[in-house]
Amino acid sequence: MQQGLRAEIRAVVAAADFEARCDSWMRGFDPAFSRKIAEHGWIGMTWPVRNGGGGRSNEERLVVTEELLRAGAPVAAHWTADRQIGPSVLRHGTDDLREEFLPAIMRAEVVVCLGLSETEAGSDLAAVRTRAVQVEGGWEITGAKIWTTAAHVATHAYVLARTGPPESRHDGLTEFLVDIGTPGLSVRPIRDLVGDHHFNEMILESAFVPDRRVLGAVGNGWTQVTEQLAFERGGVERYLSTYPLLVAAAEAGRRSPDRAVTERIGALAARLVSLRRMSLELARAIDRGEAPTRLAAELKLLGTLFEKDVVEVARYAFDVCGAEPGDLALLDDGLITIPSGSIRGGASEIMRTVIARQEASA
Amino acid sequence: MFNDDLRAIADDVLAGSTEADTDTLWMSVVALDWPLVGVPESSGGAGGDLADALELAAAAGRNASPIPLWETGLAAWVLASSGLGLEVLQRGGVAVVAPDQQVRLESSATGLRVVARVPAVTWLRPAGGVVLVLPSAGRVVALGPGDLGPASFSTNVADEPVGDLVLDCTAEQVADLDPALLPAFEARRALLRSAAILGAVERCCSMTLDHVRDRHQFGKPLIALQAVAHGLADMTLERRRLTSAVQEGLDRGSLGTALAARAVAGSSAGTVARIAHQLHGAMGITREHQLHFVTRRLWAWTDQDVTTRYAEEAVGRLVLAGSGDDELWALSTDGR
Ligand SMILES: Cc1cc2nc3c(=O)[nH]c(=O)nc-3n(C[C@H](O)[C@H](O)[C@H](O)COP(=O)(O)OP(=O)(O)OC[C@H]3O[C@@H](n4cnc5c(N)ncnc54)[C@H](O)[C@@H]3O)c2cc1C
Repeated sequence: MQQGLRAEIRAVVAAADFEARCDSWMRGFDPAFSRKIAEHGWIGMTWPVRNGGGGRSNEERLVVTEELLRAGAPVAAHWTADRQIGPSVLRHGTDDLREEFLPAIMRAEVVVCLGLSETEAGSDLAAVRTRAVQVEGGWEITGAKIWTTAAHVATHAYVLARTGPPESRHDGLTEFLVDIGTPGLSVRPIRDLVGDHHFNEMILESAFVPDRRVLGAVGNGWTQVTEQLAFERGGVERYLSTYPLLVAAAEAGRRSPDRAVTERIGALAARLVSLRRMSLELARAIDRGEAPTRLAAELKLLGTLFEKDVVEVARYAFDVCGAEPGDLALLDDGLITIPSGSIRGGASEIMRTVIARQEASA
Repeated sequence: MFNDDLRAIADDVLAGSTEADTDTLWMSVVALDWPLVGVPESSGGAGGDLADALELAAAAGRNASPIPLWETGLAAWVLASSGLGLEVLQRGGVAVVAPDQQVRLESSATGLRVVARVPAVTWLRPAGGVVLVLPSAGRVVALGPGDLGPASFSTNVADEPVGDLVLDCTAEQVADLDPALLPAFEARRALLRSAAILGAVERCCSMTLDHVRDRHQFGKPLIALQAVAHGLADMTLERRRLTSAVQEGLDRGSLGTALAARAVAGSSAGTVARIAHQLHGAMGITREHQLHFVTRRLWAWTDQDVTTRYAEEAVGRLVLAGSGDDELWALSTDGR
């Protein structure tokens, strides 16, 4: 399936200069590499041709994203825009907004960060307090976002803000696309557990956003963001973040064969088959025009559990079979990835609640 | 799931299996020709494809039907694939792969003498037939009820019959074993077993959902307690990943994907049985409650035909065989 496409991607990946790492879709930021991906038409590849998109299927996009993460390639610069903001602009944006954003995203000129979480609105996203107030020609946004990945290197910020009364919860939210250089918008780094800088605080002080940068309908933010989360949660990055480590563990098991290691690698491989099948079903559902929120939550939860077990099996395999230079650094890379997996994009408990609710109402 | 129309009919016919008289139940599926589904009509089968057979296996699992429905179909498929007739399976039967040390074949003036001692064959019954698959001898041997010697019969934890096959007879129905048949048989059996486990998993999920909605504690239904709802979610996650694994195995048809499904099935079985019992409380431990019919099957089936550990090791060998991640990637994505 898709042999030609796979071969093309592998050639591009092979010609690029990067070190394979875990979590490359969040930690591997390389605009030049993203531009190369763009040149091949692999950003926005599923968007309709009439909007300048590639008009290809989500099944084909699955091939592209999985080959890139297989290689641990640095894709963070275009990942979010391609995965969820482009599709959201496509679904809800005006023609103007589509023209402004879609071609630029496809050229890898747009790096977008997600301003959803706040200090008091984590799992309870409907508690967002950042306010947008209507002014002449647009809106003024005031508030503080947190954990905003890549805000320091972004060109644009997606911001979920309250346009209804303070207690309006799910009903009073609106989505905006804001230039990162807008006066009143500032970004402060937050170092992660190993001192790396990927997420930030993003402060908005009466930052002006013109009307044309409202994404979708005013007050319809909750419905729209829930759909967006299906795109955010249902990608291959939910189970392939530690793939380079899995390959290193398999190499160890091949170098010095051990029955228990073989079994554990086999058990993971079997799980990978079913995760990949779920991805395929998700891609097909999106191609049919559905927003498969439950399947996305299921994939995220099962995927992040898988990633966690990859690290455990790798640890075991390196102990029993011995580690090559670089293996232990990759293990550390995996270890620091694991706690994020079950939190970002919605904590595992939230996924379980979503799934249980849908099971009970099915 | 694999054939939705058949699913609905099968659940209709097999409903109440646990209380039914097994002979009556068997007659009703025979009347529908279901034990021979997945075997070409030209070979005396009922037609239909593997998807149909999987749907029936899942239905038998879901309804905890105490009959060798898909097991007979698998044995019939071996016979048909080897050019042998299906007569020995009139009252059901099983196919077993027997290693060298358990079987001795001798050519005699009257035919092929088979001396065998194969322990712990599930669904071996005095009335049933047996299809012996002998890899080293390169033969397939069909044996009817009359051929079986004095065997000792018992049951497994799910109350399915288990017998030690003891034979010394002259086989009348013998064929050469096509070398390609063995991996195909292993794949088909792994998928059928996985589908049966999936059926039992589905039943656990639906019984548990019903229970945690009905049963009240602390003045509210159990499902209103988050820990309970999350336990239910974890069960349905197992159902999801197993469904996907079996579907992938069906679509791809390779031994690797079938064994992958079997490995997933074995691990899902234990998780689902554990949570189902936990959420049912003491009521679920009673003989009177229906839950044990499916959970005991899950426990028995985890290591039936092949153990789950064997399936994991086999998948592991497969992905470690190539270089780099070639085999791992090919197995999971189907695209080299
Ligand atoms: C690496 C990383 C990158 C991120 N990037 C972004 C980004 O780019 N943009 C953005 O907007 N956000 C981002 N986030 C934030 C992320 O969306 C939130 O962390 C997440 O939604 C959880 O919110 P919280 O951290 O405030 O945890 P809290 O909501 O405080 O929850 C803490 C823990 O409590 C438990 N819990 C919470 N609620 C429930 C419940 N209802 N039932 C049961 N248990 C519960 C869970 O175990 C949870 O992990 C990122 C997070 C990480 C880790």
